[in-house]
Amino acid sequence: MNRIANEEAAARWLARRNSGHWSSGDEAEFTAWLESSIAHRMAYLQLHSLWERTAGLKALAHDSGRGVVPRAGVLLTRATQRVTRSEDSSRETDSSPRWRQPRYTRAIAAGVTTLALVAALLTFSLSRGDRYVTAIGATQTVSLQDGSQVTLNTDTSLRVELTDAERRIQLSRGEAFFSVAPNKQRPFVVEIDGKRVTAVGTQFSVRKLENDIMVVVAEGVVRVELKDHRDATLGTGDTARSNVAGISVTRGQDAAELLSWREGWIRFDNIALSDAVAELNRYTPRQIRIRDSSLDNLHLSGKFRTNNIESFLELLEKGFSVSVQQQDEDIVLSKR
Amino acid sequence: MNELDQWFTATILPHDTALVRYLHRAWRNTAEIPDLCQEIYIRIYQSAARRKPDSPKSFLFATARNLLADRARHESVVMIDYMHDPDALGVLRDDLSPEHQHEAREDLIRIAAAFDRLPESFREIIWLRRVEGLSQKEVARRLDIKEGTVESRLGRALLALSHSIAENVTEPACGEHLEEHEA
Repeated sequence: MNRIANEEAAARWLARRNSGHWSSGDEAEFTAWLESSIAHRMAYLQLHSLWERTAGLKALAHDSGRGVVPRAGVLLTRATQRVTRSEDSSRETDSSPRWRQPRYTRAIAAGVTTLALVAALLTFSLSRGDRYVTAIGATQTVSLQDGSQVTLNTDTSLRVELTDAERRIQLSRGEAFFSVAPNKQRPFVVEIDGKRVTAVGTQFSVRKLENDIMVVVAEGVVRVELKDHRDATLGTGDTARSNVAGISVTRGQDAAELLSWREGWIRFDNIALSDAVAELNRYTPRQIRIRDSSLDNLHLSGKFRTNNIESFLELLEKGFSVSVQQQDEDIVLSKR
Repeated sequence: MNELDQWFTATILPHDTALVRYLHRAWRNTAEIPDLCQEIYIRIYQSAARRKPDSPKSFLFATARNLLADRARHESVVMIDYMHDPDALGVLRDDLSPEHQHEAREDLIRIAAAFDRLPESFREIIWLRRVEGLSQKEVARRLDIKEGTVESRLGRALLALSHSIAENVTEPACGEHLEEHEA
């Protein structure tokens, strides 16, 4: 039948257009086919729309691992669970963290120990500590030789120097969470452009912003000190942000929520679209840009996977009058 | 894709499931439904090329009803249900955002369910290309098959997915079941 033949032709064209091999000759032939009959065009548009929508399956990828195709029946279960979950996201706690320790973490940890031994054998330090770097979108947890743990968020670079007097971390980029093994004799200091965040035994995160820093304390006591020695002491649930005026402290925050990036989540609580976009852009090399300034007034709340920008974009498209368009490598948001 | 194609994709095609459901209710000969759909879409597209309708969804169902009426006049067998009013079926509710969001979720569930029904090799190709985002070349290398095979298999897999969705629209989406349970 005609319709079936059209559908098959449309499927072939669609696969060819996305094959990575598309010549100007193909383009001419495709256009001729598309223009020759409106039935061709309808068949193509329908299949093309389905092709676009299959990207939504990414939301159901979970952590099945790369290259593992879900067995029959698995996706439907996930999709329906997702409905339950998204309608119940306020009290959601994900029992299985998205990231697992990468296989190489242990190797790195072993490497750290070996390095530390070598460093101890040498009476002088050849290098200024060990350096850890994460790629955009990646997180990594590292166990330090003193028993402390460091979790690096997306696009982060830091250096670890452990001496008898002090445990020193230099954060040159990004954000990290520290779970510090108690040791009063060896303060744990995070340095960022001359600002110091000091702890003895506690859990906290530090994020480097362009000129400022942001600190979140999950447990214990942490001292933040600026270059000019102005300082502030933070307790559990406190957050601090340095700025030109000094340090502004907010008490009684939900630290677990603010630190949910460790489990691969990002949470927005009635924040401006531009801020949400800036936050999400940290996790993906594809950057989202806002074209219409009228969208700046849009405020939104919700919890998203840091590795699933698509579901955020999907919400914008379906729930708000925002049009999402792919432009080269970037994603452009405009008013619909 | 030109501007009209984009309008059609964004405005008309999202009602595909609702349209097919309506046709199932209003037209006895279900084998003809894919062709009816095609015919309705062609009419809409041609009409929109001249002037876009103010309320696309109402226009879509009005077009569907008119087509069924035309067909019924030419059929020797009279279809009792053909004039079934889309309004009475509740398909013309306004596109308020909660329903819109519900439709998006329902669509994902439908695609997931259809995906689950596909044979292994089709699931694999769609998964690697669309979810893991591998290029055709990378998929060919991973599966140790020719690139041309990846391309033709992907085409057939998409077509199978499309048919799998169409064949099951009359079943309520699982989301509807869920919501009932949750209420």
